[in-house]
Amino acid sequence: MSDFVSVPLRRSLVAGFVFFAMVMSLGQALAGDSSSQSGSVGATVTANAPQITNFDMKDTSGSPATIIGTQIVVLTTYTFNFRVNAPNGWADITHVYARIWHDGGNDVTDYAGQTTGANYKASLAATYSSASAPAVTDFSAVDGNIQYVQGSSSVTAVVAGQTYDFVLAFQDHAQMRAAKTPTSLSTTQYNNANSWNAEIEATDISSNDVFQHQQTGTNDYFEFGVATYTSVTFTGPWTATTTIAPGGNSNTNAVTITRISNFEFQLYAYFSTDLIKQGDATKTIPVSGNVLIRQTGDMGGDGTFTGTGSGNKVYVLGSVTPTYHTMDASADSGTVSVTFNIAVPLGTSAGTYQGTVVFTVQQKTPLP
Amino acid sequence: MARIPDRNGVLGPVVFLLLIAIVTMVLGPPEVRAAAPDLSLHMVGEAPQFDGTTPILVAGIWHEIDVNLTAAPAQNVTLQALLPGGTPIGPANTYAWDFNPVTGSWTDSLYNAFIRADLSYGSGSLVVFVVGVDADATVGIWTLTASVGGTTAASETIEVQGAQVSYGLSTPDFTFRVDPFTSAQASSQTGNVYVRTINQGNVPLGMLVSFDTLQSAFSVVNPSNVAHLGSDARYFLALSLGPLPPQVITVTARTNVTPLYVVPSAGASRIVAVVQQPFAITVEVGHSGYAIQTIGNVVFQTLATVKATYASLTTWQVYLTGAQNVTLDVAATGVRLKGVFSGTQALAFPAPLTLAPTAELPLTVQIEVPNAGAGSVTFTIHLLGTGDTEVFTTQVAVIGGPDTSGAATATVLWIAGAALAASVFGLISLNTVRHRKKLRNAAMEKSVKKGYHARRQERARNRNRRHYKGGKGNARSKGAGQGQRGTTPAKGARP
Repeated sequence: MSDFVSVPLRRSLVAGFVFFAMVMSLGQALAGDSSSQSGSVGATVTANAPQITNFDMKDTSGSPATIIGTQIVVLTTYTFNFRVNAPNGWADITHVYARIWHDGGNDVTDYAGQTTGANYKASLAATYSSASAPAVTDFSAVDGNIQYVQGSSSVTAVVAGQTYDFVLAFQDHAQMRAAKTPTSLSTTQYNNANSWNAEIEATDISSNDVFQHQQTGTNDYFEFGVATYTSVTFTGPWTATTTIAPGGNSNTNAVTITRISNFEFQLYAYFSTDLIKQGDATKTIPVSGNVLIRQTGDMGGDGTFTGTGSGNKVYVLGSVTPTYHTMDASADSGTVSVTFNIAVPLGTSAGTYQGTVVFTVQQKTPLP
Repeated sequence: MARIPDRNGVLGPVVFLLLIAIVTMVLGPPEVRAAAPDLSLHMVGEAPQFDGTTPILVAGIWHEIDVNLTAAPAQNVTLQALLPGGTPIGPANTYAWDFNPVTGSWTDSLYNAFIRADLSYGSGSLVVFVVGVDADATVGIWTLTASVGGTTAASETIEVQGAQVSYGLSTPDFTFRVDPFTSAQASSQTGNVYVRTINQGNVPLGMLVSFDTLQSAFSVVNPSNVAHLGSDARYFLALSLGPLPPQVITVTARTNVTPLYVVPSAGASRIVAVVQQPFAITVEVGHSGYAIQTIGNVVFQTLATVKATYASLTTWQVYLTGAQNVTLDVAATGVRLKGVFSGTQALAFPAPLTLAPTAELPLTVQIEVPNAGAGSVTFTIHLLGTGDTEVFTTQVAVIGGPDTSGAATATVLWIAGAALAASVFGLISLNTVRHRKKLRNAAMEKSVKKGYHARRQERARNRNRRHYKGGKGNARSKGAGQGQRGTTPAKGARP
C-alpha cells in the first residue's frame, strides 16, 4: 500500500473516531442531568435575541401581590411587571407587548386567535425604531377595553440602553369578560379553560420574536379570572305624561336604562308595591292588570305584571325560560329604553300615585 | 402746654393693629372676613357637588340650601329658584320658599310640596332650607336668590341636573370552607376577596345586603347603609358558623339599592326604580382540599387528586357521613391498591359500613405506584336504605418514575453520533476511492506510453516482485490486488 493512500486514511479514521467520541461524551454528559428548564417560548433565531424575565402581574395595594390564580376586579388598577434585556442595545428593539386575552374555553387559543371582541382581549403596546431607551409614554392600550394608567406606570433602567424593568398599569373596563378563579395552574401550558391568559412579547430588528408566558419563579403559565360586574343606570323616574282620568291609561316617559354586565345576563323588573296614593296609603292602583312595560329589548310584546313581588317579573332582556342576553362582545355598555303604561281603574280616588319597581341584572351562573 | 406722656408709644401700636384689621377685612378670605350673605347647597348627607365651580342641584332629590346672613333675620326670608326665561311658570322652572322667623314657619308658597319643614331650621344668622325641585324640572342653569324682607341678600348661579341613579356591583367567587362539626369564624378578608360597590350617579343610594340562607351566620364587615355620591367601597363578608355536618351550601346574596332623599311627585303617577343585584356565595363544610360529594343523605369526602411518589406507598383518608348505611367498593386503575382500612382493620369489599349523620367515619386508603403515569382510584358507594349507587373517583398524579429521560437523551445522541460517524467513514471511503482512481489513472497513463515489450517486462518485474514479497507480505493487500488486475495469479501467490 502506498503512503499516498494510507496516510489520509489513517488521519481520517483518527479524526472520525475522536469526533465520534466527543459527540458521545457530550451526549452522556447531557443525559446525566434529567432536570428540565422552562422559560420563554418563541421563535428565537439568533443568539442575541431579546430576553424577557421577571414576569408577573400584580395588584397595586400597599403590598402588591401577584394576581396569578386569582380573580381581578374591573375598574381597578393592576400592573404588568417584567424585564426586557436587549443584548445588542435597545435600538434593536422594535416592539414590546403586554397582553391579556380570554381563552374562549380552549386553552390553546392564543392572543391572535381570540377574535370575539374588545371585551375578550387587550394589549399595551409600544413600537420602537432605533430608540435609545424605552419610556412609559411609549405604551398605549390597543385591541381591547382596557385603560393604560400611565401615571401608575414606570420604566427603570437596569443597564442603560440595554436592560429595563417595566411596570405597566392598566384597568379593565367594566364589561371585560368575567372568568372564575383558575384552580389548576401548569408549568407546561395554559391549563384552565375559560380563564384569562397573559403574555409578554418583544421583537427586534433581526426578526427575533420572543414571548414570555410564565410567571417568573413558579414557571406557571399566567392565568387569572375576572370577578363578575353588573351595573344599572337610570336617567330618572317614570312619570305619566298626562293626568290620567279614571278608566283611561297613559304611557310614561321613556327612561333609558344603561346596563353593564360582563357575562350573559337577564334584566327584569317587578313591582315591590302597588301604586300607592301619596298622603293616603289606603288607596292604591293595583299593578296587576293596570301596569305594563311597552315592548322593548328582548320582549315579544308588551309585558304585563300579574301582581307584586319577585314572582311576577317582566323580562326586558333575556327570558323566563331562562334565556340570557348575550354580553356585549366589544361595547363598554348597552342601553334599553323602557316605557310603562299605567291604567287608572274607574272609581279611583283622585291624587298622585307612586309605585316602586325593582330592576335586577341577573347574571347567568355559574361561570364556566 | 400740658404734655401727654407716652402718647406716641400708645398710639403707634393701636394704629398698626387697626391697619392690620382693615387689611384683613378687605383682603382676607371670605371665611375670615366678617360674613357677607351668601348661599350654598348640598344634598342631605352629601358633600356639595360642582360642575366646574357651579353648584349642582339634582332634580327630584332633597337638598339643604344654606342662607348665611350677617345677622339673625327679623323679617321673612324668601328663597327663590328660577330658570331664567322659563315659561309658563310652574314646577319646571320656578320655585319660592319662605321662612317666617317670627312664627318659625316654612312654606312652599307656589306648590306647597317641595319643602321639608321638618328638616329645615334657623340658627342665628344661618337659615337652612331643605327643599327640592320636581324630578321633571328643566335641567340647565338656574338662579338661586335669597332675600330678607323683600331685599335681595345673596344670589347664586346653580346647575339643575336630572337625577341619575347608577349603581355598579362587582362580586368575586365567594367560597368559605369550614371543618365539619366544628364552630368556625371566617372572613373573606383573609383572601382579600370583597364585594365592591360603585355609585356612579348623582343620587345617594341606600344599600342593604341580604342572604337567602344562613342569614344569621353572614355579616358584612364595616357595612355602610349609604352609597354616597362617587363612592367606591369594598366590603368583606364574614361568616360565623356553628357545627355542621359535611355539605356544600349555596347562598344567594342580594344587594338592594334604593335612591335616597327622593322628592315625592307633585303630579301624575310615578314609578321609582330600585336596583337589586344578586351574587352567589358557596360554603363548603368539609376537609381542606377535599371534594365534597353527595349521594342522597350520604356525604363522601375524598381528595380530588392525590400526588403519589413513584414506587412508594401513599395513603390518604376519605370520610363518610350519612343517615343510612352503605356498602363501599374500591378499585384502582394504573396504581396498586394495597388496602382500605377502618382504623387498623382492613376492609373486604364490598364492605358494609355503618354511618351516622353526626360524625364522620374516616377510612384510610393505601396505594402503591408501580408504574409511571397517571392512575385513579374509584369508590363505589351503594346506599342500603334507598338502593342508590354512585361512583366517585380520585385521580392519582404520579411524581417521578424510572429515570428514562437520561437514557432517552443518550439514545438520541448515540444515534446522532452514529450518524456523524457514518458520515465521517463515508468521507473516508470517498477519499479512498478518489485516491484509487487517481492511482489507476496514473497507471493507465503509464501503460499507454509503453510499448509491447515494455509492458511484458513490466509484468515480469511484477511477477518477480510478488515472488519476492510472497514470503513476507500479504498478497491480499490492495496494492497487490491492483497489481494483479488482468493477470493470472501466480502459483503460491494466495495463502
